[in-house]
Amino acid sequence: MNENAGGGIASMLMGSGPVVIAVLAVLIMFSIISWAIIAFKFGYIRKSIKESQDFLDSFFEVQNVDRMFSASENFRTGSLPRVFRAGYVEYSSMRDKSTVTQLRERVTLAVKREVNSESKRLTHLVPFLATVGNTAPFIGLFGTVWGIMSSFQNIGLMKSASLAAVAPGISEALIATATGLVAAIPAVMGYNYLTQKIGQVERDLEDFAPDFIDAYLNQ
Amino acid sequence: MSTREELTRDQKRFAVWVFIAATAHAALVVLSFLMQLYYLRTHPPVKIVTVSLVTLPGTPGPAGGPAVPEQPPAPKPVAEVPAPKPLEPPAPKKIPEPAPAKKIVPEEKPKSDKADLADALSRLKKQTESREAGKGISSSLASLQKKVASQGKGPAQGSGSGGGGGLYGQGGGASDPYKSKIAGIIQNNWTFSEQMLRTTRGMEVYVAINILPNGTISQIRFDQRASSEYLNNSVKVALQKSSPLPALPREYGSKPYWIGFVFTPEGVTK
Repeated sequence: MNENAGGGIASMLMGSGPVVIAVLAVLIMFSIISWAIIAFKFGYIRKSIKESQDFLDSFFEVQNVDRMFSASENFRTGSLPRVFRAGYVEYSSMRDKSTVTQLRERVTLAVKREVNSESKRLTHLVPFLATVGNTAPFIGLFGTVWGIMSSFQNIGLMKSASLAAVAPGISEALIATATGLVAAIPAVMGYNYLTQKIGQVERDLEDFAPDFIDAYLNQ
Repeated sequence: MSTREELTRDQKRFAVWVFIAATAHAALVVLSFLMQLYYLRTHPPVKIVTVSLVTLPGTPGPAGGPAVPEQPPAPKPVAEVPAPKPLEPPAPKKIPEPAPAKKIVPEEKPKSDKADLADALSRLKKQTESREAGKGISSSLASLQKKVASQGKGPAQGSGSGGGGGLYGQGGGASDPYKSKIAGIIQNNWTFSEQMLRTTRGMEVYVAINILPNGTISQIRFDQRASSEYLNNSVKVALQKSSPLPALPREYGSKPYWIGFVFTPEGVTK
């Protein structure tokens, strides 16, 4: 143990078997990707919400779809401006060619399609966090179980069950569980936060999409 | 309206975040290593002292321990010699320290040969201190060990019978009292815990020390190192702490003298 203490975690890693090392590598990869998704999505959704809010402020202030379309050029990441732009493009292309009913159907369809597209964009990569949150502890546990199995085999070979013989192996094996939890906990927290924010944006899209359609047709 | 261009841009952004996350993970791992090293430097591990028993060289049987069942309890001053095995102190028990001889040895006769030896050694040390000469201890110990050897069943264990080659085990049988004494001193200065080793297999350190006539250890030579640096280092520290040893007896002459010791997790043998 004292020998381990000299190098600490490094010594324990060096003493681990190939399966435990592979498990650790997978878990570290999971952790890296999870953090990247959390950071990427956090920035993206935050910006989307902010731009949607700014766009809505302008929308209620201006009350003119043509000018709103011009203003929406400044909010290219926001979900609401993107839905508005999709509906406006459809409305512009069809307003001289079809009746009001047909126009409403086409614009409604275009808006609905864009809402779905936005929803997909927002939730893209997020389920991976749930996967990591659910599976990482079990993967870590697998590494630990495997490490303890190897440890017990060594104990059998050494013909000694002293603490000095048992403890290092179990200590090495438990690194896998610890790493699994380190990967899973931020993933679960990030998933819950992002899901809640995405739900908020989606509710906004559902709420304001009919208002956009009315705004086009009442122009 | 997720055009291909936007998708590519998002993928690039995501790749940047992956790179940042990977760098952060690597930095975190390196930081944890450094923190651990720093912590170990600032908070050195608490020393765990397991006092192993010293088997006096040439003394038959295990050097003490909680129970030696086969020994007759009664009046025999020195018990029977068990078997001519190498030194294997079975249990952690500290023998009386050789250096501080202020303690008065109890008068009643102990029931084991180890205790007898310990008492005799204490008395002799007392005499030595008072006389400032090594005459008394040498003769007393020699006669005591002669007595032990005569009552023993076989060849004495520990230091190797027949005075084998090299420094180790050259004593044989009832061995030199001086060597026994310094073995005791080194053992007492040896801070070592078996629990700090992952395995005790092959943990033997063969060390030869060069003792000047005045008792100073002038040289420490590792003839065989153990795989554990902890054990090697503890041996080195013990030898350094033990210097200076008692002055060499006259019979050793006036030249520096080499003595070999074998350190195992069970104790020190000569």
